[in-house]
Amino acid sequence: MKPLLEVRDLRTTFAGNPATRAVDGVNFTLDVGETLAIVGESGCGKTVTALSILGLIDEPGRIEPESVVEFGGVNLLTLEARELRRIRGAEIAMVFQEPATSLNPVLTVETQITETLRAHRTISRTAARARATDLLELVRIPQAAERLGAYPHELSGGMQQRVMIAIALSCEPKVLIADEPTTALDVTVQAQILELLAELQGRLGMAMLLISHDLGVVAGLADRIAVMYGGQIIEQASAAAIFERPMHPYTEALLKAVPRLDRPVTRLSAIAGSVPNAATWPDGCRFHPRCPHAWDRCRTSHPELTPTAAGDVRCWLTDEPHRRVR
Amino acid sequence: MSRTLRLVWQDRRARVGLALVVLFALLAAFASVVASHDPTAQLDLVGKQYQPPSLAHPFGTDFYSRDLLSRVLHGARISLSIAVLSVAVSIVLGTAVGLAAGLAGGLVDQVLMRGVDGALAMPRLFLVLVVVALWEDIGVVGLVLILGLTSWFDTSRIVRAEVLSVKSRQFIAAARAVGLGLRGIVGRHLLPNIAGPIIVMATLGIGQMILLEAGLSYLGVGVRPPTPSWGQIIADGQQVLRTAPWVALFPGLAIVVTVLAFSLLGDGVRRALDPRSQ
Amino acid sequence: MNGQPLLAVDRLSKTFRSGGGLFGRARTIRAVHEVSFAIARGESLGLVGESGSGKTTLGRLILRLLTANSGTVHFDGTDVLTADRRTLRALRRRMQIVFQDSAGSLNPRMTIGSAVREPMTVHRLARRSELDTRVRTLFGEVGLDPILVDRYPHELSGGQRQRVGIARALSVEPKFVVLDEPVSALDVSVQAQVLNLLADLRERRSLTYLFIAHDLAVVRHLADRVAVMYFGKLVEIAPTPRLFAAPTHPYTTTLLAAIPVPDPRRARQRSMAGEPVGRSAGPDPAPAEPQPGSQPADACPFYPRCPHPAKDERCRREVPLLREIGVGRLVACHYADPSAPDRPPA
Repeated sequence: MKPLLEVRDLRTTFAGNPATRAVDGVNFTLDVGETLAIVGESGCGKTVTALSILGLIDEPGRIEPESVVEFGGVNLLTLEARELRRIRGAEIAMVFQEPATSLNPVLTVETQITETLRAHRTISRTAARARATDLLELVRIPQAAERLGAYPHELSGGMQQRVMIAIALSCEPKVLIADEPTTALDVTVQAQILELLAELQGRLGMAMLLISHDLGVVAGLADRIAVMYGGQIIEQASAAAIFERPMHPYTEALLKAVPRLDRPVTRLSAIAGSVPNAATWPDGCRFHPRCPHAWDRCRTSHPELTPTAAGDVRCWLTDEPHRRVR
Repeated sequence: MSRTLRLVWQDRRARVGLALVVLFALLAAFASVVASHDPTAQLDLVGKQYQPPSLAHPFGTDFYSRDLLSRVLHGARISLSIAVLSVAVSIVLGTAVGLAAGLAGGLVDQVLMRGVDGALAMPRLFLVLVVVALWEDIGVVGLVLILGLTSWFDTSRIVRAEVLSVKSRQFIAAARAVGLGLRGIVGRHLLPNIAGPIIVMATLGIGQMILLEAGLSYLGVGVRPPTPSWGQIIADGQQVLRTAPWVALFPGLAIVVTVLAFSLLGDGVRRALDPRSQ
Repeated sequence: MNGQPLLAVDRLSKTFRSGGGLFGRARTIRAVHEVSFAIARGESLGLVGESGSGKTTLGRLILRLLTANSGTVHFDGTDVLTADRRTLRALRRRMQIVFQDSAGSLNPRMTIGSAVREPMTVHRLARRSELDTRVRTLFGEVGLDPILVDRYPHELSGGQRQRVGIARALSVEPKFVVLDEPVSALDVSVQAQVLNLLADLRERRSLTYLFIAHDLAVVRHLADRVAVMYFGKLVEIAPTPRLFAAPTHPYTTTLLAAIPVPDPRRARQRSMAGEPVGRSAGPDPAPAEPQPGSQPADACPFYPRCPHPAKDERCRREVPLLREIGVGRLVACHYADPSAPDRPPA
């Protein structure tokens, strides 16, 4: 079966001095009803990947011409602006990190929901209003009908994010891209939003691309996980495999660096050095300056994403497992 | 400080600005040496009226047969010193008031800013005209004071807004936590971070002051003839713009180049002060 | 060791006025309300709460970066809030703070070397000739390459900047440091480095910490005791292992249950078992102020969201006070289960 969404060799660069290769050859697929999580630290290219899928890259950014984002048999990146607009918000919708700044402060909740509806569908005012109420109920906002007239500042952060999700769902998209949907929220609210996303996805049967820096957030939602580092996917496998048998040294180290409540308190194993900069990716494997296992080959030669039984991994250890430092 | 100067010098545009400003300042200072004629001397009222530019008179002559190059050079003295000094008065006052309002907050802030609002509500030219009309025989010092004292209002507003935003930044709290006093906080942490807008205000101010002085002189209440200032000369030339365009052209060009030079320099200084811009 | 606590906070309160101006009517928000606690010498107290809980305000009040409305703070026997200018200056040598936003807490126009040098010049801690050496030593101690002294904050990574913030705080050799969300702006891989550094420094310099954070998992790594704050009030204080093993306040329980576990099997189990992942926690609160008219002033602040089965009219009429229910355990709930704290830690 053909995947719902397929990203091939996605490259997004930002002109400047020096130019940055924020996304540098990313490949993945997303099936109907599936949740793929893209996990990584700041500057790894996860958000730029999400924005590139919808062609939301502005000057000085540029999606390189060989990149392909195939959805429903067409390459979104070659579409005319008008055709792309028809897909954005309707077929592929997006939820952003900061609900407070993503909502327009001077418009009511109703206006903002019906705006998306009316942009994509011919629908009467009353029908749009009724649909808006349904959507607010869908995202579990109490007294939905009354909240329609509310302005964003009258809502708490969690409620604002629910409204954002309602807007995203208004046209029943096939794909929902959620970029750090809970990062700006408190933990208790985060738990509610995550639960809501899981429930909605099951109910509506949509595919979800979840972008996050937080492995804990991803654990409960994702079917598959792609870990990004240095503008590329460095490991891609089922969620269970990533958490139980991480193959890439970065994934492994990342899992160990997270303070966890379900483990005894020990000294955290930190990853030495800092996250690299998109203007100056290291030569060879991009993780080698911070990798405990790195040898000469890693310093000079760049590994490709290689399929293995458990998943794909971009590491020379797949070739030479005896090099692993114990 | 030396670092800032070095960076200004490394910036090509700033260097051009600086060179022009220095050149104009030197020309103004040594106008009597450089100028070929006495700026007020009427050379030949019959034979040399409204001469177009020539080798003998590169900028031409005016109605009174005075050498325009000499007049523009001497005018630079008046125009530049009025502009620079009045901008200095205005920036110092505006910054002081803005700092006081922004830092003190509360009643002090309310009173100062309502005062500024009131002053801003009055048309500036009207304000200046009233004072000038009441103050006979005003002189350069008087003009500097009047121009300076009536132009700091918007600077104080901008400085206050900047102070409020920088004041709430965490490094100010960090400086307080370390035990730094008010003077250290203002001098080391606050002022350097609001220098950018202040410099922009100052460079824009120079141009405005030259034009304002020109306007006043044009209305006959600024620098009194026969003392030349750029505004004066332009006012003279304006009446003969069709027949003798050079009279207004050269002082006009001088104003344009001066304003440009100051903004090049100001921009360079602003960039040099901001470590993020390199 | 001395029996007297290093820091003693008693009934500290702070209200903010918002809006108003010349003609408007101001609203008051109780950011911190009658908070009392003490920190022993060498102890690390974690202070957790969500946004709007008042935890950051509390940290600033203790250092007198904000003015309290009432209450007292004693540091090593000295009254901080009424200290005169000279005493305060001396106190600021001994009480320091590390901020969350390392980018915002460093002056962008100052090299990081001068940022670390400045406190020592202010307090005249070293001769001019010694300053550079001192700065270099501090850089080494926090794991920064001394080559970086002439760099500006924007030229560093987030982790490096946070190390500068720590070096600056340590430059005056304080006894007590308020750590205000010191790692929450950092990437996971770097966060672990900084947490380890803070643990090492505490040991090496026998520091006392007030560690403010929203992330309970992070706090667990660095705190001996944890205080939980909700809407300006402390709702529970307990030794770290016991708080995590057996939380007694319903809010602490909710908070712990909401933390996502980085393990897909456990995460699925939890939601299947119907554990209170969040829905039972009720509507999320508006940041910084109670929902207008939602509850009377003398109700328990957690009442609207409380999932406790025993909650009743009493919770609406009577503010629960912090009471002792076990050794070193305090909780502000009428119905907190007194048997829970005696359960041995799991």
